[in-house]
Amino acid sequence: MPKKPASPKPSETASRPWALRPASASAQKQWLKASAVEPELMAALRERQRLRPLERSDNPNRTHQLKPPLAEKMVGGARLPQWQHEISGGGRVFYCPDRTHRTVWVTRVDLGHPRETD
Amino acid sequence: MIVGMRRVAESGPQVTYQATDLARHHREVLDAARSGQALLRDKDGTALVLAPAADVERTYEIAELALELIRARRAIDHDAVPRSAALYGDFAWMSVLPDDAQRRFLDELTEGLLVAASGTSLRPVELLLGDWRATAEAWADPDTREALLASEPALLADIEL
Repeated sequence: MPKKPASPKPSETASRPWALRPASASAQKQWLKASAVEPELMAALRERQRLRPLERSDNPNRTHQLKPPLAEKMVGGARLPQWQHEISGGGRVFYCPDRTHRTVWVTRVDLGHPRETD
Repeated sequence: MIVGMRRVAESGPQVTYQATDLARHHREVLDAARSGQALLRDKDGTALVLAPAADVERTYEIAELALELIRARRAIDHDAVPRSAALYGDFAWMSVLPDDAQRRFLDELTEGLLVAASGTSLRPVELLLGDWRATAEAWADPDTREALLASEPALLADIEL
């Protein structure tokens, strides 16, 4: 009889990085564009979101769980909480953490830079 | 300092120090102040309180937030829509939110302040304010609002950023 795969220990689960995925083509485009404009900022953000997307103690005034009417969002049929991380003075990344699948769905990236036409 | 003075009155039996105790028994006075509050009576009878600065700041912060809460609640309860942002005082940012969200924010803040006023940390209130302010900021921008309200089919489940 084949052995059942061992369930990961809680400590292993806790240290396993989250998967960081775009929730839409437009979110993916925004992420790539932001990464080209601010590579270091976005690399640091990527690291943070993979390791501690729900952490609020490192910079508590920069990570927020949104409230109604923006508290939740449907992603792939699942209703997930919606969070925001302030990546710079005007830069915001919005994401929906899925604790069950340890996946962070990026829903919007906005560097807050003025438009070229402004 | 009504809240602070009530605490002094309710904190049970305590020694009242005289102005001269600051020189003669300064360690005792300071220890009393560090552990809560030391009540000093000046020569003309004026009562003074010596307390940790953090406690006093906290009391002021709670009182100021409570005042702003009353101001905003009054705006919602008494003024017709559309309301001027100025009516909300320091909470002007919340004026962009829908009415039911505004009421929910004030209800949550009321709960948070009641808990904090009982002696717990103000940190949950700070987080609450930050969360609601971020929500209002996102809601105020039409593009962001539309993006955050839309359902996503998650067709890009195999792509890693």
